[in-house]
Amino acid sequence: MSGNTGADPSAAEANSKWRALIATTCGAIVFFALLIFLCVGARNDLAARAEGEAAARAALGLAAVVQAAPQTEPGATFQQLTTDFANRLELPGASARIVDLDQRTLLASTDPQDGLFTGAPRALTQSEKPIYDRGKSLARIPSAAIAGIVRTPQSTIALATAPVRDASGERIRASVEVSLPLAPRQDDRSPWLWLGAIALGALAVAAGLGQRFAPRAGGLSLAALAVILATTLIIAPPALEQLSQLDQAAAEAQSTSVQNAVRTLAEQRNWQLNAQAIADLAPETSAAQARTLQAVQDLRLSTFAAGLLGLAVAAFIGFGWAAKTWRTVIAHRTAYIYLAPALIGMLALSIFPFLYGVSLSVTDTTLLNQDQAFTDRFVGLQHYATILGDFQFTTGTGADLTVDYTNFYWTLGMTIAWTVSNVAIGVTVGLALALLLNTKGLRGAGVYRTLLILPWAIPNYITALTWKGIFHPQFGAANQVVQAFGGEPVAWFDSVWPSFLTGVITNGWLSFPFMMVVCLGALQAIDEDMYEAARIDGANPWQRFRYITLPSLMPALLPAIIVSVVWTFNMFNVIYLVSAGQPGGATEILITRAYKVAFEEYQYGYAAAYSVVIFLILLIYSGLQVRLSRATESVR
Amino acid sequence: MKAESAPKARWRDHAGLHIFLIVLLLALLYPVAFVLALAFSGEQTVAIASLPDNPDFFDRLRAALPVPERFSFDNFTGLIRDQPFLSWMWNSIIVAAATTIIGVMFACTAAYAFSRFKFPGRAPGMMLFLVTQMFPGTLMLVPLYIIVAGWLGLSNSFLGLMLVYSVTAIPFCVWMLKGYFDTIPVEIEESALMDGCSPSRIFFSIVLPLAQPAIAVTALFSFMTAWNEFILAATFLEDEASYTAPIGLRFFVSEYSSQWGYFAAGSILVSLPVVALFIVLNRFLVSGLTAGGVKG
Repeated sequence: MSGNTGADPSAAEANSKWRALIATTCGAIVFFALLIFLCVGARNDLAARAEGEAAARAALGLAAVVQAAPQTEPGATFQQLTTDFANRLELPGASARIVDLDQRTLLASTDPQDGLFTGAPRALTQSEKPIYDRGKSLARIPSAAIAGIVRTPQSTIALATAPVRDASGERIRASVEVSLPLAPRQDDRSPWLWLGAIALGALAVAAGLGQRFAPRAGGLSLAALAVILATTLIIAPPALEQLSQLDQAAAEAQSTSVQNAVRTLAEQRNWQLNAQAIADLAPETSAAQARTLQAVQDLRLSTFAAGLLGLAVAAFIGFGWAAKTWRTVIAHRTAYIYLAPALIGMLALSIFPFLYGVSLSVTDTTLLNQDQAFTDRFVGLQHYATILGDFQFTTGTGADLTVDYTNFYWTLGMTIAWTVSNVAIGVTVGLALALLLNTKGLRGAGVYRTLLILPWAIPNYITALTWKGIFHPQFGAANQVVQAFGGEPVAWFDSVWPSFLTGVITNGWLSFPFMMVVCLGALQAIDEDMYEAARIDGANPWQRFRYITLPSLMPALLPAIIVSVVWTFNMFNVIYLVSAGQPGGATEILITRAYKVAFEEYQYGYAAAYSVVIFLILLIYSGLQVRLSRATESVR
Repeated sequence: MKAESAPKARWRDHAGLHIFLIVLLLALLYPVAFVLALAFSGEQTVAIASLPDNPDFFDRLRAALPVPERFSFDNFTGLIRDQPFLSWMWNSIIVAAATTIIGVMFACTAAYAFSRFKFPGRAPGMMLFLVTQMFPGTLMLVPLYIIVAGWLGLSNSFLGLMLVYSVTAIPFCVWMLKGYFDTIPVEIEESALMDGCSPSRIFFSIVLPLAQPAIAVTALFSFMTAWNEFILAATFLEDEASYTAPIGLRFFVSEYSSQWGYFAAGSILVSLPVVALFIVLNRFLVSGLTAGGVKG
């Protein structure tokens, strides 16, 4: 090309080649970073599940031994048995525990964290609540005949339930757990390096081809990445399969050691062990293989998804969108720099958890299966159908027929009743007090105002717990007053409406000061001359209130009511701490019900769906409210 | 009270109203008196007075009257000597102070960006800050627990709580501060710019000092968010030594123990600082809280 006309096109061409190279490289980097993350994750996951399997067999084995212990054995031998068993396991660092779920006591433990355990059962402390939670959540799951596995950052814990006999021969619900410290992962990276080298080669070839042929940067980078993606899809999954077989072999050896330990222990003590129970402890090769196959399949799928993401990145850069975005950011850089810290915080700890929660809502995640792959837990919209489609309002038959308090619509109705009554009380009391305090020239109004604001200033959990004390059925002050006037003591939390009333009183007490302050502010802004004029026109006090005070209050009061509806709707602390939903969850509101599903029933997926429904209700409410306030504004 | 246009009336001009208000006040502040009575009773029971075998009307009423049978500081001294309450308070102070600093810093800069700059994504960004206010806490709890405890490894650590609390407080603070920044005349900044002042200097030396009242209110709000928070702390902190004050107080009257005296004494110590701050600053808080409602 000749000098003066070719300068621009050739510069553009060179520019486009560079851009192609950058786009392809970035796309490839994103793809590979994701790929390595996925591969290592998949492999670790398989290894951990193999290990978990071994731990699960150990838990089942211990449960079998404990159950076989004859009635005559005193309770203290649990500890001896557990120690013996743990010593025989060929699982490095393994420790075992037995927990009585009815009495919340620790029956036996070889975990050094639990202190030197002498064999005398002791009550669980509050910091040991996770142990109790695990056991209880397992007992709730219907298919808990097999063990559940929980992973904490430090260890893999396998659980089994066992109906054992205590010292007096009573049958008790107990959970047996075996925890393994997380084994350091074998760092065999060579297959992945090999994979990376091939892909980089493909990248170089693609880039070279691009220099020659590709007229457009975007198209080239996409083509190059597609080649890389195809290569990886062929190589990566078999590599995973090979590696996981090594882990599997190790885990099978461990399972065999559990089987031997159980057998020896039983033989030593002449206990009759169920032959089937022992046979069940044998490693299941076929299940392990199925698991590996599934993981390989998942990896193929996620590799493909990672490839698409890489392609998207490449396209974003290759077609020049990245440059455009960059120019925008640079042009407004001051604003974005100022915004960045808050925005990053919000994205990481508010938006992302929200989206994560929404994705949980389409799974059946529980405490025990949260480590499984997303695809294994996916249930679609099933939870939503269960929640919204539950029109079975009663449980039991005949004389036992009662309202099903866990029904969504019951709880929704209760929440609406709760919100309406609280806001009504707050507005009425607040407005009345504000009118009183607004008396012209009232001395000490500031002091009254300050004292009346106290309920709002005191932390609300303290208020809630205080009212719980006042409503104590036996010693509480409320029942003393009732009895002083000849009434029977009220069992506040044993029936629905008294229990509801305790919540409303507590929350009404919390919420009137806010309304009072809002009203007082608005009242003081009303021009005194208007009342004067009305008085001259012969308006009576009610008319003055109705036609001057109320309309002047509305602009301040309406927004206050709107926000306080949302606050009351979501007022977790009062319900949770005062009535705790008693009796039988009847006075639960939506938000406390969701919490209980999540943290007492451990149904994370269902709880997430429940919470999404709450969010949608609030969204509809605020949509209506915006439309309503627009309508009133246009009327004005 | 300021802005008294009319001359003060004499006390007896409103004698009836004063009597009514005082009676009302006594009734409404009963729970406060109840806590005070328990705190100074020196006992751990929730009953203010013990009842005789066949209690009559006055015995019952005595048991409801918020005056302790004997006056004693035992609950306070016991709380501080025998219980780890001071370290719980200290934990709360650290968490709340850090939350206030992080929250106010981030909110100031973000609010300034929203108030003073036009940039792509401004309106959706502001909307985003509002919508997060509607996320139900229970939806966030499980994911937050997984992120903070599982991925970041911050369970039982205050850093996780501080970060989450700051983010909880930020949307309100941003809206509050943006409203205030909007009222500061932009001409001041323009003339500073003419005099060769850098944008960051304008922000730190001109805008922030002018916005002091609003910053005080957002600081109060952030502080109270962290100081009064209960559910997240109860979920995140498992170790008794790392409890914050709310979890500690709840522990006194939970299913694991029943120490109402300690609860009451602790409640007073925990409430005093926030109540004092709140009474000074609540006027400003109201306008901010309701402003969000108007804008939807």
